[in-house]
Amino acid sequence: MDLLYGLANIFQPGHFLLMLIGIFIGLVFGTIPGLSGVTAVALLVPFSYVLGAESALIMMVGVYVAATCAGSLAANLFNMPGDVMGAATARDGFPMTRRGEAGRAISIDMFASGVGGVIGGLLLVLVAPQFARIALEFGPPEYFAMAVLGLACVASLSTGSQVKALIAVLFGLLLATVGLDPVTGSVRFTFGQPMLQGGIDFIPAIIGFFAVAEILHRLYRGRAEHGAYTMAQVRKTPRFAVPSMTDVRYTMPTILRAAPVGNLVGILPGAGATVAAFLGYGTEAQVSRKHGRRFGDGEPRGVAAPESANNAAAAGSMVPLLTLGIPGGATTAVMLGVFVLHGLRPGPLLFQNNPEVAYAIFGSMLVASVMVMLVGWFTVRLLLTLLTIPFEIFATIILVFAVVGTFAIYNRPIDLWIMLFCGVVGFFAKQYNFPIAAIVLGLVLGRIAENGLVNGLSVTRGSLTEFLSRPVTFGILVLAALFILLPIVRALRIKRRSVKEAAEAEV
Amino acid sequence: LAQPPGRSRTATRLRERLAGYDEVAVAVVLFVAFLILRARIDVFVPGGRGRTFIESDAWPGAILTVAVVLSAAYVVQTVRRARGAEALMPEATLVGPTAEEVSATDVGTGNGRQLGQLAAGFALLLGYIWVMPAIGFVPATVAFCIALPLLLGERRWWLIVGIPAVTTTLVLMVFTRLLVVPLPRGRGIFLELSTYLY
Repeated sequence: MDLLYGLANIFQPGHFLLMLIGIFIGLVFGTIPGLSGVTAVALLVPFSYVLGAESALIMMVGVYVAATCAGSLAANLFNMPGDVMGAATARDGFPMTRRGEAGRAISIDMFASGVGGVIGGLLLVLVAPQFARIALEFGPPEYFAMAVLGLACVASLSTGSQVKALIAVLFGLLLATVGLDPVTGSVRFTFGQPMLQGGIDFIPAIIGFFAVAEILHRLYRGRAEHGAYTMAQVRKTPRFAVPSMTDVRYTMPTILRAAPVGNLVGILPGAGATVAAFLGYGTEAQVSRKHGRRFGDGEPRGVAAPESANNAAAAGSMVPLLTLGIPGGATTAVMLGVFVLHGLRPGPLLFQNNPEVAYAIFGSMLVASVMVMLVGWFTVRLLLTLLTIPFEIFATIILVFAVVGTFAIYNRPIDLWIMLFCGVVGFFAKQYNFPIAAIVLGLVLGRIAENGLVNGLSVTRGSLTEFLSRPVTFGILVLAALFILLPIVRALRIKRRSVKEAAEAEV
Repeated sequence: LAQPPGRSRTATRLRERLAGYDEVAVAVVLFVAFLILRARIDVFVPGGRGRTFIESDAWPGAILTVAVVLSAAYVVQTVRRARGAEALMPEATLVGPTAEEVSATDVGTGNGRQLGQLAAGFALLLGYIWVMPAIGFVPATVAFCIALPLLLGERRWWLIVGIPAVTTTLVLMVFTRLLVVPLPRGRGIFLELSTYLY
């Protein structure tokens, strides 16, 4: 019934048109390397004032789903992922293209994205209301624990150095403390600037970290990637890319296996679609190895698995956002900002107070997944034409929209300086491989964690033992500790084993 | 003027040997920044003490303590890695290629030209944000939209004219008409111009 309401809402002409516009924007931003879906969603925030929360969120879901899907388009064809998650798809998608099966790779990619998104959406519809019921029992200590779990996930599951990921998280947490202390009202790290007392709002920060940092990074990398592809290369790809029934039958079991895995990863705050894509790929590679299939050489199931998983994860990431108000990634953090701008409070009470918003998101997740698949099949060549447009055009337009969009949110000049500062920090983070998503989640979850800790300790009258002895809090914190410690233990074991092997080899 | 081969080889060799240490510098900056913030937290968080279960500086203090420890570990890691890379560098690499050989292979990650382009691009963005309140949105955006493509090497006149015209008109229509956002109008003659336009 609720789902039907959500679907009926989406098929209202205005909402459907907005979703299509969102899908188009998402496909554009997802296809072009560097212009991620997060940037697109963040630049759309000012539009939410005119559209209203419900319509704006429907459009943003369209952007999110489309960008998640389109991130692998250039990865399949040119081994140039539009987003990090596309790297998993490129492992088999690009060999397929080299074998002359570009159209087949893209058609499977789009099909897996669509079906994975629909499965993720259905799981969202089933899981989120149950999760919301459980979340009604959550107090400040549980919120603190969930925020810590999110930070632990993002730190431990980031690719690359764990020390860097943890430093990035801490940097984000530190940014979140700028402004007035939520309890005493004391100023913290404002350096005598009254404008900073309002704190660092995360939407200007996200625009800085993603849009400005990416353009600065590409300025530094030089002209190597500018207008990297010609129309002649694009014309080699098929005009339409619809999968054959044989491919549908062949990849369907993979899609059905990878989607729940991706969805589960998406539900974990902080894990995100990139982890889901690699986990989906890895899981399927293990399953397929038993049947003698080799991933990495252009196996169609290697394209289907990560695409199904990351689109299902996009739906899964809505669970902590809608039921707890805890965003699982940068895109959902921007959506949280839209909720807050419109006076809505995501969390268990959202399903009681504003069910129309929650069900609109459910419905748009399902419909957007199908629409992205259909639009993607028929606009492949048009999308790839974007790769021939010179970088200077995109850079100029994006920077102007970043500046004006940031200013338009609150009309505060300080936000522009915050955006610029975060752009510079983001540039260095990219340069030295610090995960930007970890900084952003630190900034967003920092406030939730501190409020949970302070309010929880006030409830327990300062008793940390009582605070930690609540079973759910304790369980979540143990899980967070495992996320941090397991990679360290694993790395130590590998190191010890390699030292032992080296010693044996010498003997 | 062409550099003598010996001198360019020495410069290249020095640059290569220092290449691994730029991350050490980043790690040291992080460590020192976190350390100063932690040590002088009473200055940066000057609020009253002893009024609540958790002091204003407790949470940021805990974050900074962990950050100091981790950034120290990062310094150690980067120093080890830089030394290891230097030790693994073959003798031939230590002698280094000539500047011409380097420029032939280095397509574009962080040579002098790119660094200049980055600095100029950042200065343009900084200037755009800085002057917009004084000269208003339209002149600032037009100037920015002409300067950035030129900086990035664009020389086609129709793009140099087209990008600012289309971008400024689009943003103006969307933000002032659709979103009713009060974009900066500037002062003096710029205020009059802006009032005429939107």
